Amino acid sequence: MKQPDSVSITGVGLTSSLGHSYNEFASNLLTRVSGIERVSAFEVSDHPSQIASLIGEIPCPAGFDETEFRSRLRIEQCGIWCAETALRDAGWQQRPEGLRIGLVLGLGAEWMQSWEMDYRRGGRRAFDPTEEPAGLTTKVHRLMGLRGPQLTISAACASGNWALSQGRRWLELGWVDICLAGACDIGVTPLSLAGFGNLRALSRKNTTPHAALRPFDRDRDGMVLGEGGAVFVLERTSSAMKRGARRYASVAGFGATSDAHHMVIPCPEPKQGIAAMRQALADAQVAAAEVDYINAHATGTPVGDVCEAKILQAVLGDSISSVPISSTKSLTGHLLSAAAAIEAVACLIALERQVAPPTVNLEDPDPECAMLNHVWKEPRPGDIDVTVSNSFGFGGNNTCLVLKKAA
Amino acid sequence: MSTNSYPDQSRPMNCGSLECTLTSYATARILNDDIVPLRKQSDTLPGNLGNSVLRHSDEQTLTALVAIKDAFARFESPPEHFQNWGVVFSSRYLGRTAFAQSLNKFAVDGPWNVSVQVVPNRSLHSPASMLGLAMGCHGPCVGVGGGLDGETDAWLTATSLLDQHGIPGIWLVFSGWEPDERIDTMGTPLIQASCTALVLALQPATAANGLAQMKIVYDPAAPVALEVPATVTAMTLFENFMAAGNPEQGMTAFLGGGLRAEMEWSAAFEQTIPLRTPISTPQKKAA
Repeated sequence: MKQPDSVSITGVGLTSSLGHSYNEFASNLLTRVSGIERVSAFEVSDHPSQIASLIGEIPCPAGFDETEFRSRLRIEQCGIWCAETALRDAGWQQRPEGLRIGLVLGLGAEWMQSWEMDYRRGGRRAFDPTEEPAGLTTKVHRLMGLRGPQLTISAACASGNWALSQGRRWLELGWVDICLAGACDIGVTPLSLAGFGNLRALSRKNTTPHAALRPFDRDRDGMVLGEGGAVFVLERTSSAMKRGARRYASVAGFGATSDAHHMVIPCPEPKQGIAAMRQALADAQVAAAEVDYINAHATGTPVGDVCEAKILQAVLGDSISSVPISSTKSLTGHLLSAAAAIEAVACLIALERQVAPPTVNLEDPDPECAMLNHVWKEPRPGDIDVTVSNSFGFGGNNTCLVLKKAA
Repeated sequence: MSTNSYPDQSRPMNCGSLECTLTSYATARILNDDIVPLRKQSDTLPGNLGNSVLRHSDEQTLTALVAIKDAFARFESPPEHFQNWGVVFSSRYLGRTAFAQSLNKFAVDGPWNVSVQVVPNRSLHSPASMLGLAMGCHGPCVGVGGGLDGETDAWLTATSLLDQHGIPGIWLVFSGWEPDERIDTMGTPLIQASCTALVLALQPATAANGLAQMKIVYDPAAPVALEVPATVTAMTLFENFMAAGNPEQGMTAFLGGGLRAEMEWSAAFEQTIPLRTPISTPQKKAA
């Protein structure tokens, strides 16, 4: 039986507190520039957590009307910027007529964010949705004149991995020639900062923003919200090679399960998280010992990091002491629905630059996470051909994505 | 160097299709006045999650739980369990009125009074996760869509998961208010509205006792653009089909991007499955 063509990533568009392009993001990630700061976009003195990783003004893509772009909600600006710059990065500034480009976006709270923004502007859409516009995916699809199918998908913090998986599937089916897949989240709003803060999910180290998010550290006290997004151009590898496109990596494996345990708390016996990682490795036809770098979900919450350490220990077995692991959330913050997408970018950087980015603020590893081969303090150079990115979300969503270096 | 022509543009004959079988279905329609009592009837709903959990669940999630109970009873050969099943949930404007009240409370009381339940229960993934929790599903549980245009998202995702992940079944749920709720600044409903849910149990095409077969194919002649989203919910479309009653006729619907859904009903199922039907109103102007 003929094997399906593999799927390659040929373009990246992103915006985050560490930059608005792949190279800027890579440079800041590897020099350990923290994007976390005190929130100044709105009043936070009464919020339990007053810090976040913010992106500031999102650039207007070339060819777009600046005034029209600025009139849009920030979540729309984020989606448009990421999708357009990803296509340009892949060399698709000019696109042949009839090219079928699909669009899959991971979005978790776009409506709440748009209602809140509208309310702050004096609007009433949350009370009466008569004039409710189309969703972000539809808007981007129409604005860019795309001709493939479209999809909005949400698995909380795992949404970005889902988007890449669905985009890969559409390419395998031949439904699209190219697929834009990624995720966006502009989740740092007054209400969400309060909601997550009251949930006691956020760090309260308000006076030391850069040191606040401490994955796997004994002194961790919660995550720090971030905002941004990343969108990838996916193409069949054979097609990408024929047109001479740059290939960042291949999307080699994906696994997904659900805990069915609790709407917020991960299952303390993480059978399903383990199953998701094993599915992804099997899908990629990779043994645990062949993994060269793992970008952990590790949000810096007391419960979640220990749970993930158990998953990693079960899946890696004897390789637990040799596979480098880090959490780049310590620099980027937790981008919520877009977390998996921005962490896939971190994996691309590891593959391209042959260096694993570090977990910053990890100074005293939690004894229950001490068995991991932490990349801490400094980036660690190495031969990196296979990366794994874990993303686990509220509602017990477990996902794992395997990316391989382009051959 | 990239070029402006595409070297390997797929032809329809090379395109794969996705197939599945409908093995059960149910609907529910609940007036907004009846939602509060429903929150106190956990023991009558799947999973018996507890009244304290249902108290915080979104209305669309609750309505889906009611429908899924009926769908379970309607299986000709009910599965022994659902532990490897997944959930794909297409909601519309989930939690809007509750969120509106949160905005008002925040304006008055500030951040300390914002409920910790908003994020876990009103995000797009939340209803799928809650149904997965109730049914003990360890397969993928994802939310899709979120606005009026989410029904095609649901079909594409559900059929793809069945095909790709080797799972035995998917609960596919469409939910939404009819008409969309309107409230005043105190949170009082201004109109009588009902929350609707349509639940379909989808299994691989090889499943026995199917009520209908469904297939999604790429068709170069099919429309690229999505049709104008229906303001009525999937459940109302379902009821309309039931009322029209042409069981012997197949049905075709367009999912955008050149994808076409085809359905054939077995003798066991004398009615039709709803999908977004062609609507003659003009396209919305480009965003």
